[in-house]
Amino acid sequence: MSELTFPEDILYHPEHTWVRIADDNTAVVGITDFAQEQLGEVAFVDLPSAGAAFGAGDEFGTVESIKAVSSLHMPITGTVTEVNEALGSDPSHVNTSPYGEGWMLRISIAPDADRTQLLDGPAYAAQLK
Amino acid sequence: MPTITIIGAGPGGHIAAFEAARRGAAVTLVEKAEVGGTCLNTGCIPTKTIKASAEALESAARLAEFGIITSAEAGAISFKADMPAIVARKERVRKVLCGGLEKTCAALKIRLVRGAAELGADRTVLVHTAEGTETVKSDAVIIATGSRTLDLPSLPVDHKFIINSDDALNLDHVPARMVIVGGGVIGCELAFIYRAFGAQVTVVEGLNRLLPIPSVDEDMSRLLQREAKKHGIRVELAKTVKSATVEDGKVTCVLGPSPFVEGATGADSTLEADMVLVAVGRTPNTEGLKLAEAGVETDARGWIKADMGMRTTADGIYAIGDALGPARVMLAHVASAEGLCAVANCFGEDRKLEYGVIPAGIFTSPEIGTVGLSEADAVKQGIEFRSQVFQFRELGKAQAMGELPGMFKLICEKNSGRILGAHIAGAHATDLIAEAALAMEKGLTASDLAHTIHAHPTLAEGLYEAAEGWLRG
Repeated sequence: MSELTFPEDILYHPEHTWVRIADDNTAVVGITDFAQEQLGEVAFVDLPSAGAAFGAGDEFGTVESIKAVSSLHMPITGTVTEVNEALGSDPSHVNTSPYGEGWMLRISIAPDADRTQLLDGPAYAAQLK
Repeated sequence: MPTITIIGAGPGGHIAAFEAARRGAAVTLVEKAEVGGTCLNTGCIPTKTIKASAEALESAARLAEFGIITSAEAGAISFKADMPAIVARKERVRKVLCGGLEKTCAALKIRLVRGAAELGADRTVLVHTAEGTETVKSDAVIIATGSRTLDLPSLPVDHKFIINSDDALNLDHVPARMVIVGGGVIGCELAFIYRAFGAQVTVVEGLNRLLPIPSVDEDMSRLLQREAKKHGIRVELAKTVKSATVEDGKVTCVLGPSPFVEGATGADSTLEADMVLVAVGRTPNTEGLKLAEAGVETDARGWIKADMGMRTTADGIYAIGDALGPARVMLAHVASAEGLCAVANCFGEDRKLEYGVIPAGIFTSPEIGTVGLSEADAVKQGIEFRSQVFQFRELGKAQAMGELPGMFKLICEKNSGRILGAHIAGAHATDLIAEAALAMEKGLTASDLAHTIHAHPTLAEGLYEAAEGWLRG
C-alpha cells in the first residue's frame, strides 16, 4: 500500500476513480493507482462519448484487464466534453500513469456540484486498508 | 387415425409431420420452397455455417498468440475470406440436411407435395403444383408457413446494393463498407460475421441498445456493445436510416434520431456504404393462403391468432411457429414444440403448451445464451430477486483457451434461491445455457447448482461459480 501514489491536487471517489477539478468548472477523471494495480495490465477501456451526462456514482464505462472487468463510477456529476482517445490504441497508460496520461474523461461540472462524496488523499488511503 | 395436412416443412411443420406419422396419421406435407424452411435454408443453419468460416478466419489471425508459426521462410502468411467458397460450403451443409429431411419423410411415408397451398372450405387444402392443382382433404390442417424478411418501403431491397438477410447468406464478395439497419439478433450476428470477414461495419439500431428484446438482459446488450467496439464495429443507437440512395455503385444513407426513442434528438447525418443490409424484422408468410376466406383470423399485422393448443378460429385448423408472430416466441425450437402440441390435439388430446423455459442462442462474438427472465422482466413482475455476475475471464479454462470476454449472470428469487433467469455471454454460451434451462425446467435453486460438482477445467464451471457467488451474497 505504501508504494501507491495519492497526488494532492485531486479528490477521490470510494469506487476508485479520481477527479482533478479546475477553476473554470472543468475537471479530469481517471482511475486511481490502487485500481490499476488491482486490475493488472489494462487491455481495454470502454468510455462514453462527448456529450454524455452522468450523476455522481453513475456507471460511465468499463475497464478490462486480462483477469478482471470493472465498472467505472463517475466521481462527480458532470457532462463529458472530451474522451482520452489515446487509450484506444494504448490502454497501458492507465497502468503507467493513472493520474497523468492515463486520464479518461474531461468533463464540465456545475459550480455547485456536490463534492461531499469525494475523499482527499489520506481519507481515500485510509479506506483502502 | 386422423389424416393431417401440414403446410410448410420448416422446423415447425416437419417436426409436426414426423410426430404425426410416427403416431400413425396419414400425413401430407406441403412445401412451396425447400424442405427445412427458413431455419435450414435461410436462417439458423446457413448463418451458423458461415459463422464457422468467420471463426476460422479469426483463429487464423490469432495463430501467433498460440505459438503457431509458419514454416515458410518469407514473411507472414495472411488469410482472407473467399466468399464463393464460404457460400459453397454453406450450400453443401444445407443440401446434406435438406436431403436428410427428405429421406426421413420418405421413410415415415409422409406424402411430400411441392407447391403453394391455399385453404379451401372445410379444411380442404389446394396445392398449386407444377403438374396442376391438387385438392387435399383431411381431418386437420396445421399451418406452419413461417415468416419472411420484412422490407421497409424507405429502403427498397435490390438484392445488390440494398440487401436482406437471405442475400447476406449468398454474397460473392465481402463489401468494403456495410451498413446494417437493425441491431436485433439477425443484424448483430451478421455484423460480427462480416466484420470478421474484413468489412467495415456500422450497425444502426432504432432503440437504445443492441439486442433490444425483452429476453435479453441489459448487461448482455452492454457487453455486446463493448465487444462491438473492440471489434471495430461502429454502433449507432437510437438512430434510424431514413433513406438509402444508390448511385455509382455506392449507397448514401441518411441517419436521423430514432422516432422509437422518446427524446431522441440530433441532426441528420450521412453515411456512405458499399452495401446496406436491412434486418429490421420478419413479416408473416401467409400470402395466397386465403386465411380470411377460410375463417382463420389474423391480427392487424397478419400474424395468425391461435390459442394455447395452437387452434385457430377455424375448426380443425391449427397454426404454429413464426406464423403466430411475436405474440409467441419466434424461434425454431419453439415452432417444433408447438408442432408437437398441435399434433397431440389433432389426435383428440387437449394439450396446451407452456411457454415456460425457452433458451435461446445468439451467435455473435462472443456468443450469448439466455433463458428465463431478464433483470428488467423480474423488476416489472415485482419479484424480489438478487442477481450475481461471474466474469468469464475468471475461469481457468477461459484463460487457457484465450477466450476472455463474457460473463455468467444468474437471477434468483431472493428468499428461495429459485433460478428465474440465466444469461451467459462468452465462448460456447449457446451450449452452456442448456444446463440453466434444465435447472429452470426442474425449478432448481442456486443452491442446487452450487451443490452439483462441475468438472474442472471447463466453461460450465462458470454457472457453478455464479451460483456459489449468489449463495455467498
